[in-house]
Amino acid sequence: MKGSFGALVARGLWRALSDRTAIIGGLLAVTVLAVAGPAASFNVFASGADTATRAAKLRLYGWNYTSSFDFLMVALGFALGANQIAGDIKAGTLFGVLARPVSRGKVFLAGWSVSALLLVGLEIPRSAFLIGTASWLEGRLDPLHLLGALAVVSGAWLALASLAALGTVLTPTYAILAGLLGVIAGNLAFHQEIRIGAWMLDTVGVLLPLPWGQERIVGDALTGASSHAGPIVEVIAYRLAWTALLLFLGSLAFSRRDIAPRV
Amino acid sequence: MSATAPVIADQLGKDFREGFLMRKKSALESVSFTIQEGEIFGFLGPNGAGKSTTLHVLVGFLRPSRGRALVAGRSPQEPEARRFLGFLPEVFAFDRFATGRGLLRRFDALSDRPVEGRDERVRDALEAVGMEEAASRRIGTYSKGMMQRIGLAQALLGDPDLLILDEPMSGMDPATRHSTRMVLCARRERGKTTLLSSHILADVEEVADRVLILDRGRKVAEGPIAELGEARAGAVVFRDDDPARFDPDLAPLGLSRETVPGEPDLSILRTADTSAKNAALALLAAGGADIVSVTPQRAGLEEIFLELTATKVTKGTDLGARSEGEGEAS
Ligand SMILES: Nc1ncnc2c1ncn2[C@@H]1O[C@H](COP(=O)(O)OP(=O)(O)OP(=O)(O)O)[C@@H](O)[C@H]1O
Ligand SMILES: [Mg+2]
Repeated sequence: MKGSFGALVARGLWRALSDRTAIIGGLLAVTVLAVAGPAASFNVFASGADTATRAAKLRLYGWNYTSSFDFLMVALGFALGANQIAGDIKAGTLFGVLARPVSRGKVFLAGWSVSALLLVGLEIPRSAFLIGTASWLEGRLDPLHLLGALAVVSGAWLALASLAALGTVLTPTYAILAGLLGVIAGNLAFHQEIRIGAWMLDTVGVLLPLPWGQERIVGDALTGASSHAGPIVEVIAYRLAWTALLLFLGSLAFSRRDIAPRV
Repeated sequence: MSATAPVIADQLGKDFREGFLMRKKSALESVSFTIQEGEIFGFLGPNGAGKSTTLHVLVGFLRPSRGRALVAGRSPQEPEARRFLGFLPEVFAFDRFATGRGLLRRFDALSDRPVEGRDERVRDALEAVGMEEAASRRIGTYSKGMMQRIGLAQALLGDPDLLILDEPMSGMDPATRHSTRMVLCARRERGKTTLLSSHILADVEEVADRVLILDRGRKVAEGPIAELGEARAGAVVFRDDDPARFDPDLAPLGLSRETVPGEPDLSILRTADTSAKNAALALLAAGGADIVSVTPQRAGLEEIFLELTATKVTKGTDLGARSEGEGEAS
């Protein structure tokens, strides 16, 4: 990797791994896997059904039992994102970096890349195990299974990018509060039962990076309930597009902002 | 090295937005100066004068609201402007878990310098601040003075053409202060430029070729210390219940009395003319006035500083209050 970007990535990795919130989140995530993984496998293999049913059950139990892992990934994305710029400014450690010949955009993107890779690293054991075992039982790889896992990862990336972008203009605490507010508003607005006029929801859904019935689509792809690739591809595209837009906006806001060390 | 001056500030102005209503507050107004290559340029001013604000504009942390700054001939917003620059902020923190040496190695890599020569560059910087021994310890365990030294080391890393230091001497013991001055002078020998902001006037007086004094966001003086001292008039401060009675005799000497707000019996006479000053002193002494202070003709940096900045009023009243107290006691 090129000199200063590589050094920024190395520094980002070091910071993420010494961030207490991130360590606790990571440990919790590993715990969920350690408990839910064997539990799901045991349920499936003790059921004694034929291999096709076993594969279906494995996907259903495997992803459902570890659904708290999805939540942890998003929470971890929040923590890592807020720590990236906002936390670095608050700690006063960013200024030594900004005084060097690196662009702020590079600092922002390098920080995000490190956290994004860490989240992927955390997701790989679960996805590899579930996709691998199910493929082995089914005798083929279901592309929707793979796409579902990609949707989970891109969801975590989106959470990470949102907080990283908010963190370029807010303190860590306010960035997390704003992020949580977004999640709450999203959950309220997109409950199908509350019909405050469908057009309003549609408009908000386009204007804000809020999940619109996406969890069901992702769940269907992961558990094999759906055999249409269209919706899940749309979800992935939506999440990646929003991630890219937020990275662009965050890097722009960071580059234009006044940041100076204060007592 | 480029042909332009290392630092040019042209009519720099900076506003901050403050409080809930985000009201504008000016921290810097029309500040212009040019620092020449190989110079040690002292940056002075009372608390809140705008020194740090100016330095932060120069390193690209803040965008100027008005005017323009050029560092190495470039806008400070360009990363390239910082390629040959070292900066020590007034307040800073480094990753606690890193060792001093680890931190410098990382910063060297961040400056995009080649791996070959890194060990030597890091060693030179540590040596310059006398931190070779503590370099393997974690930064979280450093004392205040050691923090200040490792901060200076990271600024000196790679022997930058331009060094910008915001209060580098605070928290340093006398020996370290001395060796820091030596480091700055050695840099000058090699033609390297330093911008030094400090409250320790004795340090600045010893090393700076020129100084700039800021007061409440405005430039109040700039030049070599010796010249600034010559331009200052000597000042005679005296106390009398009815100072106006001296006015008829002072007028022929070309002297007019200044008063200090809130101190009706305190008066100041300013003159660059030694014979007028001596005549006035004789006159005042004969008239029974209490002579509080006589500022030397060729003022030192401290006199210049106190005279030019708002601090002079406080100092005048302080002096007055003290001499009054002594008078009552005796
Ligand atoms: N981020 C900010 N927001 C609002 N006001 C600010 C900000 N930074 C500085 N100021 C104000 O700008 C003025 C100049 O501050 P600055 O820190 O440049 O002073 P200074 O000369 O470095 O003082 P000191 O000797 O105390 O370090 C002060 O009135 C300060 O309150
Ligand atoms: Mg300051």
